[in-house]
Amino acid sequence: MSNLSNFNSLMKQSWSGVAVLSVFYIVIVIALSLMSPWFFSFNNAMNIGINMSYIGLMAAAGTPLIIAGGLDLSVAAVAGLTGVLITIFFGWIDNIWLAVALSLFVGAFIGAFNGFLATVLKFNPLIATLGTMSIITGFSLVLTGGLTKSMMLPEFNYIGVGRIFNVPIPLIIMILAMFLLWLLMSKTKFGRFLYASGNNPDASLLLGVPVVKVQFYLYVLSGLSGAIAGVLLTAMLGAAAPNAAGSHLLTIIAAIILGGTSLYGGIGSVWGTLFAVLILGTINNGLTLMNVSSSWQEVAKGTVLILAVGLDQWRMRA
Amino acid sequence: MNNTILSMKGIRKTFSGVAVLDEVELNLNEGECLGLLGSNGAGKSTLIKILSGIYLKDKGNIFISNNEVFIKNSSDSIKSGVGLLPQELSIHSEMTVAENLMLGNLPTKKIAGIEFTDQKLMIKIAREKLLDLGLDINVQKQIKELTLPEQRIVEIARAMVGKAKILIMDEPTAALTRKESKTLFEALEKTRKAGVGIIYISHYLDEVFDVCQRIVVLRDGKNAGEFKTTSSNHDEVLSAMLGNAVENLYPNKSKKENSDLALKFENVTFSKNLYNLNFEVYKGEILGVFGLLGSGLEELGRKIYGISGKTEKGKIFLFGKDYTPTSPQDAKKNGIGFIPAERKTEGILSELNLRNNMTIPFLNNFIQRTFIDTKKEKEFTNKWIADFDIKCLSSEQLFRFLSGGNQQKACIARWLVDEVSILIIEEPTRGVDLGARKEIYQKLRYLCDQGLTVIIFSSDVEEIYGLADRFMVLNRGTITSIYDQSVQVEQLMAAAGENINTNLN
Repeated sequence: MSNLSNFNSLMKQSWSGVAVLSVFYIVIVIALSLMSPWFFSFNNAMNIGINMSYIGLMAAAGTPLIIAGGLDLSVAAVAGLTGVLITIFFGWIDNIWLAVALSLFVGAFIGAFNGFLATVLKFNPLIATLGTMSIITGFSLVLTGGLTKSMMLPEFNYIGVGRIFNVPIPLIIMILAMFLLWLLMSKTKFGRFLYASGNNPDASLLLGVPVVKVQFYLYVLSGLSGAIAGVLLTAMLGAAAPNAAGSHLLTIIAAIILGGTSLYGGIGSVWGTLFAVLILGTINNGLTLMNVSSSWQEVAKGTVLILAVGLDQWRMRA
Repeated sequence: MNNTILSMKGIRKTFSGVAVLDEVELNLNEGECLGLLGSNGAGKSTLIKILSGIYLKDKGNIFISNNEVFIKNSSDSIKSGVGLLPQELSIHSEMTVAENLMLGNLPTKKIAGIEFTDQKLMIKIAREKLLDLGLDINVQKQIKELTLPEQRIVEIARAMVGKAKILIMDEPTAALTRKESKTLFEALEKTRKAGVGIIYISHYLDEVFDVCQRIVVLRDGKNAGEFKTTSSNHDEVLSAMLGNAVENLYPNKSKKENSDLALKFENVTFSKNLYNLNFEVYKGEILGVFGLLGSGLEELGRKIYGISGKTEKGKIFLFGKDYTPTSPQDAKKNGIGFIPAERKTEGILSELNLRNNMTIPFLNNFIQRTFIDTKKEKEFTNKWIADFDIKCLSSEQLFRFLSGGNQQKACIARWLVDEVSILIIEEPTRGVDLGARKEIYQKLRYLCDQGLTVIIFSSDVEEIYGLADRFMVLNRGTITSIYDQSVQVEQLMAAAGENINTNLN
């Protein structure tokens, strides 16, 4: 009994969620290493890293937003639109980096639009960003006629496929982004304010926390993360597909929640999201190596998600 | 009629290894109203939650009508005959009185093999049950049309319909006026005489002495005394609750020479609900503002702090300078702090730790080159913890695990920085136990002697009367009178519009 209650009180610590996830991850890695001879290798680990990098980037930026009491369902659609915009802008101005910069600006602008709807006009973010998602996806299809546009340009593709010290650049960008977000969330005033805003917006306002401003900036950040993910994805594929990332929305939200971020706001960490992204990506990769069909992989993903939510519930009740 | 209906023996409960209940005993007789008293954190709510199946006990036995019961969840508790009436009303305001009353026990009739609610029977039973408690109303009204005490009585009746033998009432009069409370007490008396045992929890000692026959006191999770209300007095009970004889709850008032003006209202009108305000607040004093519900009491402090709405007319001066409050951030910059009445919903960040809660209003003081200096935060938080005697495991404990009194101490302490010269406090001790109340009062007086100016908005007239240096009464949106210390408590109540003839007895 007392052992159990000690364990329960341990579970209530904020870092314990991350600890549990990391143990869970190690278990998965050991299990998959035993089941597939191709799984445990540096190259395969890097494969997982590349595949999850752009998803992890969007999930990382979505984490502080959800902690602060917001939600952005349009982020994956922004990634799709960004690729399309790069090809179009590049066609106009013939300077790839300027085209990329413009596309990033559009992503941030869409984030600002979401922020305006959700914080200034106080629309329900679930519905508002679902609306934006639909609009953006629609525009992407209109702009390309539903076709995939080729985007082959060595210096541009390098940021998608290049490696530094044998580590893929997209993975480096994701880890760097997470590190910066961790600094922002845990070490700065803005970070403290975002936890406060999500935990109790009314109390935060009375304490002088600029709740609306904090949430607004986080929507901009989320939009920007979608755009960066779109750049990476386009560079990786050498092509822009209008709905390249749309199907990953569920994975992004799942990773954030699996990582211990509360949908009610105020609780969560970017490292939790990192491990959740790794878990989802690794399971996916392992099952592929074992020739499990993608349909069954969907079933596995859903099961892991439900288990994670169950664990979270148990942790909160303890 | 002295049959024991409930007996709790050797009850023990720990949270994170800390015993909040230790070998607690509680006996309740048929037809008895038992006052359960204790400071916040003494364990009374934990004990009640064990009885009503919200918490599981670690050790101990519970007997109801001499049979041992094993309560694992709230439905076990209801089946054993325990009816809990929580502090917040638990009724469905859109439903009728009869529906609310009979919800768990709807009478049915079969028409063509399908069960329907027997409306006629439902209305008949509901009406009878309410008449038993002395409430003669149309049971087909919606609950929200009833007055607060009537709604409370419906709750009692509902527990009776559910065949409750033991009724637990947690602060049932918290939102009621004296007159309204009286209606409720009459119903309680009828319930008791019907053989039901009542456990009555309240912060109001007068009330407990009026309503209960016996009092059980808990302190620090242990039994700390048992009293018959006919043969004991307030002081005995209070000293059992606090552990040592209580001297005056309120600190001595300090005599002040005419000091500087801190805040001045000149003909200020905010809206038609808060108008023609003329008053002054002096540096280093405690101004007590009293009023009934709807008098503007809930509004004025918020207006000074810059929440919701600007002045329509008139001028406000802050230390001689024009002051137009526009937002909490702006008020804060002008040296005004604010502590809201609804701690849970407006005051605290429950999922953040104590340190985060305490440093957030003036986080800039803890920033060093864009990053928060956690070491400095801990240093200050520990100083506040020591200064205010906040009971906690450490500065890193989650705020929601602190008791109400300790939360309130933290909510006050965090404003005590050099930047704040005027502190507005709504209901400074709502839901705070006597021990912590006394400490808070003394601390506020001490701070005022150091030069802080405090404006208190409270619907507890005794608190206002005991604590403040000067008094201001609000009635229907404007100031009816301002008094100095020579005023009597009855005058304050009369100015607020409360009928002072309806005494409790």
